[in-house]
Amino acid sequence: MSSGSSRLRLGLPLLAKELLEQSARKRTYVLRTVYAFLLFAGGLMMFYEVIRYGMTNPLSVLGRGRDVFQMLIGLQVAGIYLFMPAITCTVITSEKERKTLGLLLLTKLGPWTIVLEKYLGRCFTMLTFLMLSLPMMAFAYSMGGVNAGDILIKSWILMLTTLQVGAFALMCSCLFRTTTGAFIGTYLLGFLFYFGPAIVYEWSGMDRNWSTVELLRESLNTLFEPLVGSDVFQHQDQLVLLWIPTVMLFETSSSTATLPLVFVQSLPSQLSIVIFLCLARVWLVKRAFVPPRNAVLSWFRKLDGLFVRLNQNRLTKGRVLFNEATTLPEDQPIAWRETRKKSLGTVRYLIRVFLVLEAPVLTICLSIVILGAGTSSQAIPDELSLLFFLMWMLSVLLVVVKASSLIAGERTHETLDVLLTTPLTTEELISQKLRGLWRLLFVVAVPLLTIILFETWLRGIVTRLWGHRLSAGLYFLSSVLAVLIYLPLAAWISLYFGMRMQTQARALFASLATIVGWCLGPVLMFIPLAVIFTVGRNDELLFLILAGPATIIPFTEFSALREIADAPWVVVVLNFVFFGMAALVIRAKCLRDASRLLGRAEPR
Amino acid sequence: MSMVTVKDLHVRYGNVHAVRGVSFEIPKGEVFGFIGPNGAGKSSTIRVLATLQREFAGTVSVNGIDVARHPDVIREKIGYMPDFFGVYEDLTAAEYLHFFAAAYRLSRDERLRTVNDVLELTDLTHKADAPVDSLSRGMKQRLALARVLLHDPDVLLLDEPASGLDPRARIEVRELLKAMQEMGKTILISSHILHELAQLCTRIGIIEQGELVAEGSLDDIFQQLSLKRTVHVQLSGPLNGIVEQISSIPGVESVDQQADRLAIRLSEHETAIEDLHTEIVRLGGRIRMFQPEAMDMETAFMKLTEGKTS
Repeated sequence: MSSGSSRLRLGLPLLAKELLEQSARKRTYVLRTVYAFLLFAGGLMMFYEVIRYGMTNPLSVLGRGRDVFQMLIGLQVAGIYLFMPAITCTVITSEKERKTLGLLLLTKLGPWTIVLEKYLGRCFTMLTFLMLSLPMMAFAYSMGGVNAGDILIKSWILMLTTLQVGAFALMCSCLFRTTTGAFIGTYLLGFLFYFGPAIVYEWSGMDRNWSTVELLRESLNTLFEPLVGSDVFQHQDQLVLLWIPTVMLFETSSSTATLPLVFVQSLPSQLSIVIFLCLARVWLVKRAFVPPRNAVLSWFRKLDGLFVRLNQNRLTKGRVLFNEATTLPEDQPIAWRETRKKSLGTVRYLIRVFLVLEAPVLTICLSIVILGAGTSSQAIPDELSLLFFLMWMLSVLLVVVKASSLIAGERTHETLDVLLTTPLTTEELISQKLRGLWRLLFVVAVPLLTIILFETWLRGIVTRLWGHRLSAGLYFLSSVLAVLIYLPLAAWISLYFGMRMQTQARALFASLATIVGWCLGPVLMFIPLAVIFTVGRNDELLFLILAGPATIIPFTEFSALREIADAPWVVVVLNFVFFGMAALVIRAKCLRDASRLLGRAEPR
Repeated sequence: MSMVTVKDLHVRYGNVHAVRGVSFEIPKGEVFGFIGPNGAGKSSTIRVLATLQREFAGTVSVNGIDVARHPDVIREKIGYMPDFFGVYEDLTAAEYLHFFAAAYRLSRDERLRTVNDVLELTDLTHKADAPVDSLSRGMKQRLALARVLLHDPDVLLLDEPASGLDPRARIEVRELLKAMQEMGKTILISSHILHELAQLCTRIGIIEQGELVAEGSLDDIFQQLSLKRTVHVQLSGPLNGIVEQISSIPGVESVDQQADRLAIRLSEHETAIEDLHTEIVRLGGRIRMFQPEAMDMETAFMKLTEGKTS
């Protein structure tokens, strides 16, 4: 019998199809190359010092393999969290979008087979990514200090992380209808899953004295003590983050860690994988034929109902501030549709979004001020900084999703061609499409500006009371300029990819990848150079990190602009002149290339 | 002067040569049917005329205006209906038409009247306030036809307007197209439903692998293909050598004596069907049944094409 038929007898047809498809896709190799580049670049940065010492005195690096190995595992974990959701969240939604899921369900493959084979297909891909680090692992091992137990434990943690993130993304893929929804959902829900409980734990002050957690910890330790021979959970924090396998990386650095102990500690993670897969199995069938619907619109409608109910009280008596009358388009039909007909464009819904974002921001800011009033804090509360960064991420995400779908959405809905054959010029078309986006930009900018105003005020008080120079004016200028320049910059970048890509999902991936790459790239390039040339204060090389737009935000937030140069005002002005120019250049490119990207003939 | 002129048109997508030297002309007021298998180059040709194809070679003009030089002017003169109906889920049928009326820069006074007129023409007045998304496929197609009429274009480019419709909706669309023809519009229509094109089109072009393999009126094409028509004849009484005499009539290729009838294969450009009837009577045949087989476009299409794509 031929080898081909033996392969067929093994079964797993869906897994075989998945792997064949992936091997035929250019994207697989591009992703693998990017992963390898990031891994080796990161590795080089981290190991540079070790290599340098090793070149001059080989004996001096003996035994340092453990540090190198630990860093390498850290890099791999970062890779899993970054890549695994992106490659897995499309696995079922792509079948739904191609309308092939129904056909799959009609075959003799049961739902469990579909879920597991799809799951394995993506886990194998991630495994090939992880194997890229083998040469570096060998390098670490050759330096000594790493024992077989370490390798087993870390491999177990890496495998668990891969399986957990994969199962979570697969579950989201079964839950959501579109790839875009699954992508955003995976990262947002993932953030809540991994960090939500920890944030609540920290902010609620439970970490100070929480007897229930302590009681649980002691009970679990008593239960597992005969099995592993020692306490499974040394402190409470482990229990709050117990379903995150990577937390064990920090716990297992001591020499006392054994595989059985780690296995028991990772039971919650293993259980979470099973739960995610079960939910994926349920939603695969239940949500296989969910009709397409505008999720944002339905959410807004629900929100609308809530606001209407809240408005029916003695005080407001159901009065409406903005009553948008139903009108027909006047001279700018696309702008009319964007601002009167689309959910994220109408004043009515934007006020809802504004209130949903602004109310918690204002509440948190006020509570920080009230709670901090009695203390003698001489710095800006970490909670305010965290809120600021979270709002930034949310704002950029909202802007990117909206901007990248402006044109890609028309393509997906097959309405673009008809628009392009109207006498509207391409520039008119683009500028009218952007009208709704500018409104959204304004709405997301206000909560950011609220935080900035609060912080500026706090900085003023701290400077006055304690004499610390927290440069409120510089902070205010830098932060406001960041809002005014970076949000439109993100919008233009996303619009460009929206015009370039054929689908909304691709446009979104490309926009986010470009923005994240641009923000992190200069920092990643700077680190090895900083090690090689021992960069100090006022060094010209420090300006390299400012080539990423996001850099100035934490530097301003943590009053670290003086680390770059003695004249921080100059740094701020130069930074925003540069990125303002960049925004203008990208805007000009969008408008100049629009006809070409949209495939519309222009007069020769 | 021809309303649409396409000369030596070439369209390439990377290594794929989708349209290879297509040439045809459509005089004003005519309905030109564009027939071809999937991937033959029909939609690519229509997209060039609709100013949606940036890169192409050859000369393409509408009402004497060069598409490559003045696509902006062309857009005022054409009404394009793609082979899919994109949905604006947030608009009603009337809003959808007002939206495009504004996009075509109709004055505000004109818009309401025009929208009402096209809704009436397409029999959608009762659905004016219904969301576009909720309309049936046939209604959506009619709405799309209403849209292309908003700015009263000279030329209508309709890509598969009847595809995927049920028989009733197809007939409704066909009637609408006839109405447009009567309005004097020049129409370029591509379709797979060949007998409907035969009823509607004054000229047809058959395209395969990016090349136009036949072009002209239906009669021209049948003659070009030397298609023979089969005529079924029943004669009463004994045949008495009449079969041989019929065989000797010019244009008669063969006479097949079947159980109850004669199947005569006739070349029409030598002897018309009516003349065949006269000849048989002259030869003493007493005709009980005289039934020419319908010559359809399917026959021509199958004869001209091999089902290959470019």
